[in-house]
Amino acid sequence: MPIVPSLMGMTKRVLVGRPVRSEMLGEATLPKKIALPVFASDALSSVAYATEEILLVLSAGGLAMFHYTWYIAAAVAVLMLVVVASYRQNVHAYPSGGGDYEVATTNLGPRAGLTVASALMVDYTLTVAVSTASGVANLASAFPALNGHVVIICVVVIAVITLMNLRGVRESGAAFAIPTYCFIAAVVIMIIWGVAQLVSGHHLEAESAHYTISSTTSYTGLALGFLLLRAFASGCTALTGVEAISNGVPAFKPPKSKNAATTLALLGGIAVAMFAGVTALALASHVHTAEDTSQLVGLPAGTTPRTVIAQVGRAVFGDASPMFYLLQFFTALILVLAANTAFNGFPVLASILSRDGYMPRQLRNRGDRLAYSNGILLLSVMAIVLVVAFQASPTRLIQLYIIGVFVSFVCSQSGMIRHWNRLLKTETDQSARRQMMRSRVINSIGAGFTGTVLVIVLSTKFLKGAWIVVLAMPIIWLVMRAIQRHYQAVAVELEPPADLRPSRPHSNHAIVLVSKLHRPTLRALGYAKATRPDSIQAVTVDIDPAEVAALREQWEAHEIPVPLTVIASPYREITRPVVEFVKRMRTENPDDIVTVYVPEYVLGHWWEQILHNQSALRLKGRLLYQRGVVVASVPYQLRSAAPGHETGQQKSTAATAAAPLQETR
Amino acid sequence: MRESETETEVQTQTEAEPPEAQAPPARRPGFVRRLISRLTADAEELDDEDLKAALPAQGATPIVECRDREAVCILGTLRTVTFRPRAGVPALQAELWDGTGAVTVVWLGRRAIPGIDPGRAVKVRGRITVLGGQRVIYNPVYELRPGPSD
Repeated sequence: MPIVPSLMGMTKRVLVGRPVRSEMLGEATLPKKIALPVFASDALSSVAYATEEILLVLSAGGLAMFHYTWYIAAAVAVLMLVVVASYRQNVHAYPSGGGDYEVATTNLGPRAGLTVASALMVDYTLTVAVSTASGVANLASAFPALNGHVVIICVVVIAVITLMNLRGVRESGAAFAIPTYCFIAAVVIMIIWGVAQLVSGHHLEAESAHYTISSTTSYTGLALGFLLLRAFASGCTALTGVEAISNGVPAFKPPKSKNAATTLALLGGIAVAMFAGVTALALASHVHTAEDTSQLVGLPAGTTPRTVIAQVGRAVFGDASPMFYLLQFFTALILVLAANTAFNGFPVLASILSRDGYMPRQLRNRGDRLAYSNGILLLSVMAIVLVVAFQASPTRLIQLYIIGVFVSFVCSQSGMIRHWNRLLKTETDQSARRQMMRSRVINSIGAGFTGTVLVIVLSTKFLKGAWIVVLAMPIIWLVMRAIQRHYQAVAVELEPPADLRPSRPHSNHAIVLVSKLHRPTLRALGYAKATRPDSIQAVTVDIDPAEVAALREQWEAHEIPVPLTVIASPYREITRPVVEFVKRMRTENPDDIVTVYVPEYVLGHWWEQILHNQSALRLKGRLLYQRGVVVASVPYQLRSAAPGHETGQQKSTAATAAAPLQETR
Repeated sequence: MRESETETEVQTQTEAEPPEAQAPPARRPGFVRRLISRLTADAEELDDEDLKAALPAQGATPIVECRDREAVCILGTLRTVTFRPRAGVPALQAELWDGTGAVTVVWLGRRAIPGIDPGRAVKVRGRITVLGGQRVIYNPVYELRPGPSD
């Protein structure tokens, strides 16, 4: 009984579930109220950390810097609205769901498309890493006991998300809708409750309000400007995930483009409102936090400061109120869901890339449950590596984040400008022209803004870790080009001749490998004769003269009607003399085909294979590289490998699948 | 093999003076290069070299230099031996290799000949013909030579 395959099969069945038939792959269309949470969880979840990142950067300049928060938050909100407006144009113009990759490829050429693809791949990975790290950080804020095990929890969370995606959770919109709406509700209640308290004259005070921040450097002039830009760049994390909707247009209920555009607008409105609310409350309750915890004077030694949203929640709802725990729970949950959006985006992108020949073919296949299993696994592995390498620190991971997103923003927006230019050349209808010009203006503004932000983000984050991304993107780009070139070279070589007529070999010479006269050999001899070759001979290698003599005697005694050739092997090898012999037959007749029949017996159990040498396997491997040589494997199933034996059908397939390791001798 | 080899090499220097003198001196590469080629070459290539070196001493013709319908003497080892099935015309066929080329030797009317086994060193005399692009000698006079193990 092959214990290993069946154990693997059972584990997979338990974890992944029963395979799903291909017909089940219907594009389930989503109404707006479900589509919003499905696609927006990434964008909305950034509310949970965007404010914090701004405060963390500003903290380097001391408490005095915090009054700049407002301006930075306003700039981020404006940018958000601009990007949303620009993407509404994309959604109308490219409803096929190819997203930025498609826009850039059609308008700017495949090189730009590949740039977008490599940028997005980096960013999808980071989305998983950042969201999980941040979600776990929020969980640890509610339950400080978890603080020491953040990395392990992150890895487990990513593994669970991976499993859910392998099971094909994508179609179940409700699973997304409830937590996302709960998160929105929790934050909105917090904002309203907080504002109400402020209006009624209550004083909100965060636990860190009495901490002061020791700042060694004072920022003025250029340094101050740079610090503010850096804070702005960090705040731009709020923009990630906006592009998710433009990739998911086909999933909307018709009218698809219109619904997608409306959802995008809703997303923009909600995200900006929530971001502004949380920032306002954070300022009102005097949340103080710092990048380097040693700068925080007043923080009990050895503790990790809570996340900003947690501090605001405690200030508004009270220290141990159920609402605070609910808020933290939903924050963590939506961050995990945000990680999950990357699991929707990345495998689809990878499959599109692999369709275009830029990624290995395996990424294009759907697995048992119709999910792109290989893409999901690849993403999960990369994200886990990132999380472990950065110790699951959201602040450090965020330094790498959003560069990819902005690269793809810039590429797709400039692609859209080209798109409208192209259409305007041929369009004559005045109202349509006006519409296009308006769209072009919007996209131009979008391109300008995102381009500027990209420069800011790059220059401010480069030394903080962004160089890793700046390095990784061209490498991915080059690797994808190399993969594409390889596939192209193979395709050119495989190109059939114009007449599509198979060329027939001049003649076919059969060689039957023989070691002993046993059932497999007889079967191979019979089979070889049945193919009616032009010549046939049995071949054995002279390793043990006594064995060869015995074989010859048997051959004579049973009058086997096939000539038997004995090959000398002065160095006791099997593979090489046979390969050389076949090669010599080839050089004599270059137009001919030599068919080598290899009798082998199939063993039922993997441990039995250890007892048999693998000369047939090695020989087959070597003969593969000979031109004009066909290797025919003539299997003889031993009783242990026969179907119907013990476990029946399933086992026999397992046995044949596990490369039969039989011998010729 | 090694012992008989050294013997023949010594003979080469003493008896077969003329061919040695005729051979251009450029044929012998430097010591280092010979050492490297001896270390990097696989066992078969080294054997081929040994086979070739033994040819002049025995007055044998290298197979590549044999022309059609020429009476030749060939020294080499049997690479393969083919036994015909009982049903057909009795004949023993073998492939003789001397390091320069291969020739098929056929003994008609015999099913097996004691001593004609794969790996055996033999010296054959006969008339060479070319059949279908392959050199063949029918019913040669043969002489079993001491093999590497004998």
